[in-house]
Amino acid sequence: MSVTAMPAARRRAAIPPVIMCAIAWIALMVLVAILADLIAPTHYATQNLRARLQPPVFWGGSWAYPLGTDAIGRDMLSRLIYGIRFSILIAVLGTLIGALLGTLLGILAAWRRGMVEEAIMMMVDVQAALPFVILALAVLAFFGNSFVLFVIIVGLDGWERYARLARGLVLSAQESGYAVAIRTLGAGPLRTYGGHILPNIAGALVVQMTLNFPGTILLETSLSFLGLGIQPPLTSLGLLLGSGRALLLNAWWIAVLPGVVIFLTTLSMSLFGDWLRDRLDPTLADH
Amino acid sequence: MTLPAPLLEVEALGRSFPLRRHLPWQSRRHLLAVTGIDLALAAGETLGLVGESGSGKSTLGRMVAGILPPSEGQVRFAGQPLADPRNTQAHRAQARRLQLVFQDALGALNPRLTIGRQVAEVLDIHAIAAPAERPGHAVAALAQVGLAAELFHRYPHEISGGQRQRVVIARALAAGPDLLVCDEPVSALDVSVQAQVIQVLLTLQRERGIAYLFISHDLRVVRQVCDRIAVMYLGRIVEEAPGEALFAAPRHPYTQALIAAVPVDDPRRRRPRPLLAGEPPSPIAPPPGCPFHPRCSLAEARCRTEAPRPRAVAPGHRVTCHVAA
Amino acid sequence: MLVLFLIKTGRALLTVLLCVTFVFVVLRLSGDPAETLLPDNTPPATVDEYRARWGLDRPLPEQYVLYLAAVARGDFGRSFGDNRDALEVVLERVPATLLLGGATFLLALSIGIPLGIVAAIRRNTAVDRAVMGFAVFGFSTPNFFLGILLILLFTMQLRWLPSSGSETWLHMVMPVFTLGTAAAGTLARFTRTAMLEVMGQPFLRTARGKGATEGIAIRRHALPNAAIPVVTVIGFQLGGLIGGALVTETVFAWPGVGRLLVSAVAGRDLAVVQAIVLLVAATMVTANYLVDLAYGLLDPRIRDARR
Repeated sequence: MSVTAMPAARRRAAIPPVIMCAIAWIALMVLVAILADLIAPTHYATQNLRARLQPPVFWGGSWAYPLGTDAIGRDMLSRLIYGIRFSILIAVLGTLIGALLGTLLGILAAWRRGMVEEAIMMMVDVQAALPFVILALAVLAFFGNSFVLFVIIVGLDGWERYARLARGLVLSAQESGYAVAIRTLGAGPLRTYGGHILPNIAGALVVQMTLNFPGTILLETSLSFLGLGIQPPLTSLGLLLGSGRALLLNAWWIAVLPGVVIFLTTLSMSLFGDWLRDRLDPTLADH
Repeated sequence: MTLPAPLLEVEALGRSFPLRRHLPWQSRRHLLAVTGIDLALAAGETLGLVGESGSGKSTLGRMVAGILPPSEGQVRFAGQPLADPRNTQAHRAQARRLQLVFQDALGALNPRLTIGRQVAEVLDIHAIAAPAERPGHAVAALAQVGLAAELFHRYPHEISGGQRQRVVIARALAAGPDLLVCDEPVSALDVSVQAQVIQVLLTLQRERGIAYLFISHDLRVVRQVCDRIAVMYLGRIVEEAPGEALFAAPRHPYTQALIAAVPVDDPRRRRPRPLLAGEPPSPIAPPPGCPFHPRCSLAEARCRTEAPRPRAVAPGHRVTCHVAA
Repeated sequence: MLVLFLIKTGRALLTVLLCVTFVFVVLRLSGDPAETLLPDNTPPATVDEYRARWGLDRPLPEQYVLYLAAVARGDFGRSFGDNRDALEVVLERVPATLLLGGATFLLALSIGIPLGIVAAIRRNTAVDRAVMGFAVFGFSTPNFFLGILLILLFTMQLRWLPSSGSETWLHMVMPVFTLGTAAAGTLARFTRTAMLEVMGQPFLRTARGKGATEGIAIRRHALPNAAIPVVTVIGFQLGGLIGGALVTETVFAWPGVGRLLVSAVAGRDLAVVQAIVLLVAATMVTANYLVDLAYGLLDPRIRDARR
């Protein structure tokens, strides 16, 4: 932490333009994901074999297929829109699952202490020591790839960060005056942890969610790109990118367009998450 | 005529804290915070617990309030041993009658909830009154400590230190306890605000007949609030007497030094000035025998080897000293 | 100090044991190991032999012990692809991945750290912002996308670099660059932060006050202290490199362990998957352990502590 303290006036400073763009892009992605059915010209699996490998409108194509088509004539704009929906859906669901599980384990560890805490922290250490993608692949290989299993696995990426964070926050919150006070007044564990401690630590957990989110999207897209994630007929941004790999020479747009979307989305979330963290808790900043 | 059973009985109470070992095979050292405490408090009575920092008075207060388990001895409240804090139901029932007022009022309040909400929450916990009536009761509780109804919607950081302390008191009283342990309730306040809060405590005590265990390092404050005073040194009670008797005729050398150190109104009045020599020893390695002997002007050979036991020197006046008792 | 060392060693061993146990559980939950770990066309006599060796008819605790023994001697089953010992199949791909990883590591260190130092020294100037911009782009770009863009540009448009295989050093350029960009970016950012923190510290002002020039102050005082958090980050990056290698090797058809894992998962060649998972686990734990030890040696506060 730099020695020069942040002047108090900064707290009310305007949002930097870069962050505004990031927020705008994220909002756009969310909107597209929600309104996919309304704004997509066709269903993502609709084929038109007479319009294969059409280029996008800015590369010599027509407005019938604004972003071109793929090898079996599916409209890239629609596929991109639905790809965004699926990727965002999985990332959001996954993040919620991971955050919920990790936070609960962290709270449990801090509440129960002793053997329970030791066991949980050991699992956290093991998880932190290994690249999650390896374990994810092992599970997918052994148990087969179903949509539900995939979402759960994507969600579990980074659970140990929530667990560690929640445990640390709860441990210090437990010693804080208001937690001791409310227990002294006769409150049980549910009221103490649920009603008092959790709301006070929720902010930091939400920031962690925004920090984890880009990694979750990248995990899903990477696995789908490798063919080990979302399976056809469903679609995702990673799957689109993967399918375009072989056609790079003739139809670069099939791979590049989803790639640009993934890149802008993860970039925006990273920038936004960092900015949010710096704003809400300067003690965590690393500038 | 039989005396009513004491509301609070403390018997041979002690508490030590294990210290971290550097290596697993070293023997563990302990910090002896409190040892050999016997106390009794009747309903409606106020007992002051006076001592310097490190005397163990806060530890004792927390054990009496039931939030710190003792290492030895027992606390009995209304004839029953204290409930295990992990037993939520028993602990809650006890919390209705036995409460604690914290020294750090700002820390004891949840920064995100309005003070009205926090006072009303006590009513939620103990299921007192109908839910719709609880805010009204909370306002009444705030009024009892002299806080206006507008403060209901304020947050802890928006009100002054004195007001916060009164909120903590109101919250502790919301369920109508019989015994209130007050841990340095006015120490963090300015003198003028202290007087206000002390007045509130006295008024409530008169009106509701609450018993206080009033912990403080400030003898003057304790003198105003308490019927009886117990003086603590290094985890032990060295003298216990009715308030005025203590001030009129302190027997224990430590008590005498404490009282002499209290500034008086007329600085020209000559007073004997027993001075304490040396440093207060560490509770990690208390000296054998009487803990006070290294600093005591009356110390004899016996004091170095044999710990004194409390002895009555007058009705209700006990001293723990070989020489003075 | 010795106690600390023993504790760290113990924890590392425990972590490895837990990973092995995890794989054991997954293995048992997903079916009969004699079927999942051996190719379909294995002669029944050989299947029985493995069954006996792994103790599949014995009670579970005995199976667990036998499994630990099997892992210790490298017996992970046989690869479906060519009915060879799974570990052998994996090990012969390790050199390629090590080459890729090693080169990437060097690239990331030699770009990331100097950039971070420069950014810290020229704090809040255009140089700083440019470096940080590069860093953010570096670790935000998904490596599969970067790889594809590079192929598009350097193979298809410019025809300068080959995009698959590993015959010449030219084949290494794009994969290394793809893998290394994210790591370089993260390293640059952390180095900058660590340097800034150290540069603001009082002891450095004292050094300057004693007359040391800026250069000496930085070299002799700031750098060694900034090294500590940077070493930690290097340890973290290793995990990211492994994950990144999976995708990068696939994109560039680099014959390493990552690509093997992807095809093994796709083909459900579980013996190979098992071998790779445990190998990676052992490697990661060892690397973290070494970083941990290095940390303890570098930081005199930890080194000299009597507690």
